[in-house]
Amino acid sequence: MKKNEFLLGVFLSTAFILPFTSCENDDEPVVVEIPEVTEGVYVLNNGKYGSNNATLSYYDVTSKTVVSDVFSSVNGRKLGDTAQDMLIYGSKMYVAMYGSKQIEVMDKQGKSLKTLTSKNADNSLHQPRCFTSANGKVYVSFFDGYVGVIDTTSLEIGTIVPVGLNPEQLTVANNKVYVAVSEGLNYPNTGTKVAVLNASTLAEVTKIDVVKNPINVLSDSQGDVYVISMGDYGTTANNTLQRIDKQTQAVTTVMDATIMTICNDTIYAIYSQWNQPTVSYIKYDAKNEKLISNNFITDGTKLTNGPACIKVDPVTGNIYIGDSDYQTNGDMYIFSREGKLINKFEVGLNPVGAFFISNK
Amino acid sequence: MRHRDLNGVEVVERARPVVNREGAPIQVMNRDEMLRLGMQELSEVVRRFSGVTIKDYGGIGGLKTVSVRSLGAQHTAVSYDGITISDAQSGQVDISRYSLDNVEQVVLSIGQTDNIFQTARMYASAGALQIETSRPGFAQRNYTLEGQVKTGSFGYINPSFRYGQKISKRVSATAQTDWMRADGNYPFTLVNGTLREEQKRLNSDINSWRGEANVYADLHQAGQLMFKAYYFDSERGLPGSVSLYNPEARERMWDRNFFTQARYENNLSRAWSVKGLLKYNYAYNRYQDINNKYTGGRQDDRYTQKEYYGSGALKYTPTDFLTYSFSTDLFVNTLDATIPESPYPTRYTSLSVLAAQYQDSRLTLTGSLLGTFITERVKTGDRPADRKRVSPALSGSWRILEDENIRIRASFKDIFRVPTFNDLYYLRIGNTSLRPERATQYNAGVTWSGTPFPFVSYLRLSADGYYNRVHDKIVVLPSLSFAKMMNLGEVSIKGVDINMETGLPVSKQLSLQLAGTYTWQKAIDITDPSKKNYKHQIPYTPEHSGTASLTAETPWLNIGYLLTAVGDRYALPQNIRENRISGYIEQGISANRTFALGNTSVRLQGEIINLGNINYEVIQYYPMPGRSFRVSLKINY
Repeated sequence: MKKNEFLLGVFLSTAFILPFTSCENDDEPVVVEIPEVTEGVYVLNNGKYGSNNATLSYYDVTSKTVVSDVFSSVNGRKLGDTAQDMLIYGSKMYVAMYGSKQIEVMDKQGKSLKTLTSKNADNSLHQPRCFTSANGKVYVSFFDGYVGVIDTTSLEIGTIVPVGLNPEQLTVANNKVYVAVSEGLNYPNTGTKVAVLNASTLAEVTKIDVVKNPINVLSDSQGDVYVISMGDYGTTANNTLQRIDKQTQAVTTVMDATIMTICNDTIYAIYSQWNQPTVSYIKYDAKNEKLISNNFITDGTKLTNGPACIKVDPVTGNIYIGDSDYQTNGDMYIFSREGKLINKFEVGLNPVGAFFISNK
Repeated sequence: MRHRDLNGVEVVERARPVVNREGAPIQVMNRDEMLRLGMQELSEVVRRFSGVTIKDYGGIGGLKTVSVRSLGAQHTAVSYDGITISDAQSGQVDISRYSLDNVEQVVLSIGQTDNIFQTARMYASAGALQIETSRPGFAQRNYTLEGQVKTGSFGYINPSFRYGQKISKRVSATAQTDWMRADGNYPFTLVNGTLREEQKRLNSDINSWRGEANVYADLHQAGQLMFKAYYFDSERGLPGSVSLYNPEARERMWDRNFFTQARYENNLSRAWSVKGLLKYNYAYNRYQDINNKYTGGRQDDRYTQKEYYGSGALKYTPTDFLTYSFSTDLFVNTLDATIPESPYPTRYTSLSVLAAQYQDSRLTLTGSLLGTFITERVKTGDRPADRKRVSPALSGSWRILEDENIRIRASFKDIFRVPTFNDLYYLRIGNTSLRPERATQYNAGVTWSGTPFPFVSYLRLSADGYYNRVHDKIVVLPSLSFAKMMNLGEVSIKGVDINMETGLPVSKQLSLQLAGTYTWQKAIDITDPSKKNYKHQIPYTPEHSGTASLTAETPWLNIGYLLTAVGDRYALPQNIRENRISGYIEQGISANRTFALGNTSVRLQGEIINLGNINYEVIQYYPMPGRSFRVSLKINY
């Protein structure tokens, strides 16, 4: 009885309110903007080569708690040997397992959806290295000298083309795929080329000369491509950041840098070559091609060991720098966009990057 | 007065060191014990000693190195009939290469042994594993023949042949050869979270052959002379660590080793003795990895090492209680390598030792001073600084009661190891500014031997507590760009070694021997308090380990049982669950019988290894074979 009376009351009151509200917004529906928020951060830990101890750590931004080895707890088996790179694209996460020679495709909770492998003509397996994505496709480099495309719906590796030995990072810009062909295992005779492929067919367009031993590649929204080459670690060439012009494809040296990431057309890089006494934390405006700062850590925070990786959260602008001594579990330092330390949390062995999960 | 020439007595057994009397811990295993326990490999003998850790990469052809009291394999010298086996490139010796077939005695000494009449090089390590071969005995005729065939699981077969000839009253010679091959593709269970998979070890084959020839000349007053030539040739697959999900193992290794050595000893008078040794060593190693990630589809590295070695020692015993010795060694090591930027180093080493010893029935005191000078030349690049160092060692043992064989002992040794050629010159990682890695050893212990009960024929007990410090430990320091060798470690090692041996002659038909060892080690990294592995146990060092063995001899059959227990260890510097390798217990049983058929003796032996069928790991992700068998047949004429 009481319930019916209550419901009648609700019905009657809404019957009076609704006519008034609907009058005001006759033409457009109400659109509520749900702000994009970073919910969590996955940290990919490389592990030690041959030790099968690559892991994924998960950091919850709100509760500030860490779950180590998410993959094992979700899937009941280990991630595998030597995780090299990770990509979160669409609703899936892709991890390149260089040691285990396969690509793990997971959902955003870490549940494995499929494991991808691909074979050479001689039945040996391709060795996945780094990812990039564009226009619904995921591109992957294979350390034994190839670049391939993954269809994100069927989760199959499609076209695979040879590019040169030991390709590392790659990016898509100007409808082309730019891949760093390091030939790193042929040290000291390392490679000097960035291979450029057609983004649809993967046919080779050209090869661009850069400083020897190119590793890192990324692009800005204008189509300029940035490359970091290791050089010969300071004997005749330092770790060098170069820019490939979007139109002329000419290469210009920008400055010394060892690793980098890009967020909203700002490059965040770290220069930490072997014989350098101090580490530089660089902020560079990629749109206007100018240096913003040589030390973006503004509160004097010093990493315990040394920087291992750098990534920036595109939603908050927070900078995630991994600290590692390569023998014990690393730590992830979170800096605000003003360069002040927000928090620090423990990750696994040899972190290679932070990858962000948002609510969108 | 007529006189009669007595037939000379041939002493063919080696003098066994009096284990309990020495000032520093020493352990001995002789041929009888090895045969009783059915041991076929040198690593099986070494496992029975306390205070050692063996790094075993598994399989019949797998690499096995010895580390004494957690100091590392580079601090342990291995010698073959008095001359150190060396590898200037890696600094460690693979003991899987040396056959036990002609071995008379294996001695492990920690610190400095009381036998001061040694080469200077035997003073230059924290510990030494001495392998001594047997000399032929010609009791029945002027020649001896021995043929043996061994076979076992995983396609293992090992025929060998040994021939001894008495050439004259003073000169005899031996020649022996053996060939060994195995498939090595043993099954193992791979545990991955909730998954359990039966897999086979791949690319685990080995094919090797060995040849050795010795000439012994007894020149009476003019001394004794011994020549040896040795050749070893092998090809093996390297299975690598088990890689989860898509294992591909295509690494291969070839080794060729030839050495020749000459030894001369002479007791010039009651007070003076002299010893001289010469050795030439050639070692070739080829490593190949077939993988499309390399230019040309493969990595193919070839290394050639040569060593020229000479040593002279003088012993002076002025009274019954005092002995002095002086030894000096000179040797040259070279390395040629096909890897890029190889500097072709040549290392000249000069070692000199002055030692003194006082010994009576109750007290032994030994002191020595080792002087080292090393200089190195390279064809390209930087060369390391010359090394000069004086290293002291002091030890003593005292029989505290006159009528009871109970002794206390204490020893100290300050020693170092120089960086290996790999540490100095390896492509990109090598660092010519490396300093030597130093080790300081302190040991105190008590030994007792006697026959406390009537049913016991002998009982020997020893217990030692020790403290070692490693300074400037050479480790690889990785960084964002690449890795480099650095003097970056400080390790503190505390431990206890306990040994027990007893013989129980039960009846005329049955005789038992029981032995056990126990080692406790706390080897912790104390380099940097800000590091996450500060005061953590260093990798591959179990805190607890031990062995127990029981042998029973009867007229019909001899049986040996051996148990090895090793506690948890960590594969990486941080002592966390993820890095932990489970402890294990491995058991083996062997039975043998010797038949006499006229002038020939035939010995049959069978063993079951790893009775519990556990795929335990010594090195992480290098599983050991499960239960397997070995059978051998030996004919002596």
